[in-house]
Amino acid sequence: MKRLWTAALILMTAAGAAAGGTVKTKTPSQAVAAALSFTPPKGWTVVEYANAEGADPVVRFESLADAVQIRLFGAPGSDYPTPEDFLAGPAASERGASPAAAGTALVAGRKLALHRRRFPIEAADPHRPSPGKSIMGTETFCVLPLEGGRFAVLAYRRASPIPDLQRKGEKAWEAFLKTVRPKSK
Amino acid sequence: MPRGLKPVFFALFLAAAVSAGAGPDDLFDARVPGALQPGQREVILALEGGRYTLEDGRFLDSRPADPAEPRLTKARVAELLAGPSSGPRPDASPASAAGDAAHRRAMSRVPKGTPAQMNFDGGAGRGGDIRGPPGTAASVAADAAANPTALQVQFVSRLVFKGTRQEREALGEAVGLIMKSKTGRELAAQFVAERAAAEVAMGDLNHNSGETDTTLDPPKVTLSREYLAQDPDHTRVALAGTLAHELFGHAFEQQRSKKAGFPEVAHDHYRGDELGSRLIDWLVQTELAGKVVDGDPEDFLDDPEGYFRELLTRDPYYILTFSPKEMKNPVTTLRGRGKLIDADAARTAAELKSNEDWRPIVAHFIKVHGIARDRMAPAEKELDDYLKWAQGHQSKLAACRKALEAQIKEWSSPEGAKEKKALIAAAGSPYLGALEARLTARARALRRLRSGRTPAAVIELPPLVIGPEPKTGPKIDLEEVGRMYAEDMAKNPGHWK
Repeated sequence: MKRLWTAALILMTAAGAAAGGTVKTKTPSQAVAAALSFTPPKGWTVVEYANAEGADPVVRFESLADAVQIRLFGAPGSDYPTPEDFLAGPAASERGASPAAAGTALVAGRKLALHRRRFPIEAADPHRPSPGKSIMGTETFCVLPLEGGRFAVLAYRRASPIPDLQRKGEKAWEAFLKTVRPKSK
Repeated sequence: MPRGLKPVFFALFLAAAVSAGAGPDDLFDARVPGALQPGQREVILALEGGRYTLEDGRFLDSRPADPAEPRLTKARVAELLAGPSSGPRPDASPASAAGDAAHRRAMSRVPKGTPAQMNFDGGAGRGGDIRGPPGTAASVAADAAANPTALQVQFVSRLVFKGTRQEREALGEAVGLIMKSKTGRELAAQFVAERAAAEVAMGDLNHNSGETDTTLDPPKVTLSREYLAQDPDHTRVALAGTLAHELFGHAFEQQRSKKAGFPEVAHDHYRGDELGSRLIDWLVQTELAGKVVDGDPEDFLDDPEGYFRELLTRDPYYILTFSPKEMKNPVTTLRGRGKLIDADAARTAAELKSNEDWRPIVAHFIKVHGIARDRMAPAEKELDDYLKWAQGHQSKLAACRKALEAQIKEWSSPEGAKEKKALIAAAGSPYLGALEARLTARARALRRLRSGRTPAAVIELPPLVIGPEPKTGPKIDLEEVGRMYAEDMAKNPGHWK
């Protein structure tokens, strides 16, 4: 599966090159694939975009309320230059509060701290006053250091307050973490 | 003082004086209804290091020309309020100043300008070659830094306050608070420099905090009267933020876009219109109170593009909004959003089913394990809350789909072709580039402020007093039920066959 995913990305890159002559910027998927190898959950839908004017790519694999997400930070122009900045910022907080400790995970031979926070499952309408209480989902994440000062934030998100009786999402997350490997340049 | 302004103030003053049957040399009485616009009292009291004081409705001069008469006349008050410098008031007619609705629409329209005549803040420099000529907004901003009181006078002179005395006072205080924030002062300086104007009032808004009618000239900003019914200590920062949101984010921006010839349809479909206004609101709140008292900027700052994506299925309005890139291909973009609605609908339906699967599990622990029902109340409430939210969300998704299909149909028809063409043309406009740059700059500023570099609060908010939690034993939420279920499955598999 890992080979398939890598092959697909190479094909996407080649198609882009053929269509436009040259590939000027990497897509979020390409940027993530250049930094990490991994096997995504089978059959899940890929969503990709970038923040910080392209500096912070996001690739997410979704299946109903479950998602496995990879975010890269630390590149020039990143919203979070260092893991410390990230952990102190809004992307790691629950409404401004620090995330809870949630054990550890073994990723690419490294024991990483897991953090847990809740997040609103629906974006708050910027035109409306604060809703007060929102319906919250949960996110479990860890920070994986990469070469050159960059780092990846790997996360399992469940956009629902209702626990999954089958634990499908959590199983997919655990399987995904086992396949993650940072790439060397 | 510029030549243009003094006559205006004197005209206003004389009109008021004539209507009151009095002369300009009469003593000014602040107790007379309508004698002062909101914020003007504070402006006079702040002049020249507190030279003027107010006693029993009379302004007293601590350094009067005639020591025997420290009280200010109406003419002197009008002169002080005219300030050291300003542009012309948008409407110099006394009738309009007196609140004549018939004159509201007749207010002088801001002359149409070219983009080169405009001035932008934030990261506008990256938005193209549309920065205004040097010495306009920049010099006003510099003047404002040197003399914030003068700026406040000029800013207030471009606003027309309507409503009861209590409402006008609340709005005046909100303007005064806005001027205590850096963002507020900068935007007020630009508002003055670009000769924007607005009418400001309070009204019944059906649980909305504020709205702006940009079809009026000048735009009319209305804030919710509900603010007046709440504890002012806790609402004044939120009120100032909301006023800044409506006044600068919508009323001012609408006048800028009009000057730039930016089509209304593009403004209506630009995804940053609401969020950009909200960022101003959050910046003002943070600069005033050291925190955001209304709203959760973390939702956006956490993952800006992800937030915009989630916002699409939040409301039929948002499903029809675009980034500048998407605006280049509006119909194709909208067609792609059908899948987004499908995925959201499938997710919601699956979770609703899961929601119902948990009810017998909760009931099992009450019935079989003898756990008191009240201890399970949090778990049951979570299920009820989700059910209610999900049903409402399904209705919204249906409305989003309807709006999406109607818009695709319209823009695919010959009748809608002109509007679609205008939208596509606007996607590459320098104005939109500047608008995006401003949004990005404000998001960065807010991120900086909220990353441990928040300045000292201008306002100290009193702590909220919340009653103690009732001590009725450990409560069980849905997550805990999940753990109990897993444990019971292992220990008592017979329970779950």
